[in-house]
Amino acid sequence: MALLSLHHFHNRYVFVLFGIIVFACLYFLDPLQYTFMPKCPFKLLTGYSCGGCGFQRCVHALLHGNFIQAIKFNLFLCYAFPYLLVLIINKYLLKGKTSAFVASIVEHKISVLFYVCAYLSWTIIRNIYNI
Amino acid sequence: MEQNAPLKPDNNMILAIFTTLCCCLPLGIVAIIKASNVNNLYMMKQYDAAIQASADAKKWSLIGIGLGVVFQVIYIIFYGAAVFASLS
Repeated sequence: MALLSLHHFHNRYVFVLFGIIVFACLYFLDPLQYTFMPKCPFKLLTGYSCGGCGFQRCVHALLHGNFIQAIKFNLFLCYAFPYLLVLIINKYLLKGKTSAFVASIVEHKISVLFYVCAYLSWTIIRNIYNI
Repeated sequence: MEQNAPLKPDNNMILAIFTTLCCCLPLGIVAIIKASNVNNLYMMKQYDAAIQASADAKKWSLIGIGLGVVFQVIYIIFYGAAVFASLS
């Protein structure tokens, strides 16, 4: 909480450090083998997978170069990861007019609504077909 | 209405999307909706409402992430207890 309310400039390094630690953990630890890896509350409580379930297995497979395996764990991440990446790059690396232009597309109401609809429909579809 | 427009508040969209992906709680959706309102409200010069929406987006994301973390801690305690019980 205190870290997140710090100034923008400090936040960047906190997030980068956090990201490196998470990726390192996911590279060395296979979420399928260790039961102490974080679990999805939604899945444990309801028994259904949520839209983000499988992202640890997906990242682990991606870091080891198994792209097809990664896609099988969570199809939705094919769309969500690049979207998140564009948002992050736009916020922290791009400046001025370019940033405003990208934001006008990526943060447009329709894009956001599309993301929410895709997330919800993916959550429903994956539970029907057990993907 | 103020004469000088304040700086555009951060819409906290990254945090909201991160919440939907990693903390698996529908609260992330609330946060995304709030975050998407920030830019529109700012464009319509409703600066106070925009700042409020920005704060709400952050609040709901942090509640989602916080609940996720609390859940992990409970899970690990229960799991540890189960392992300990099976060992002894």
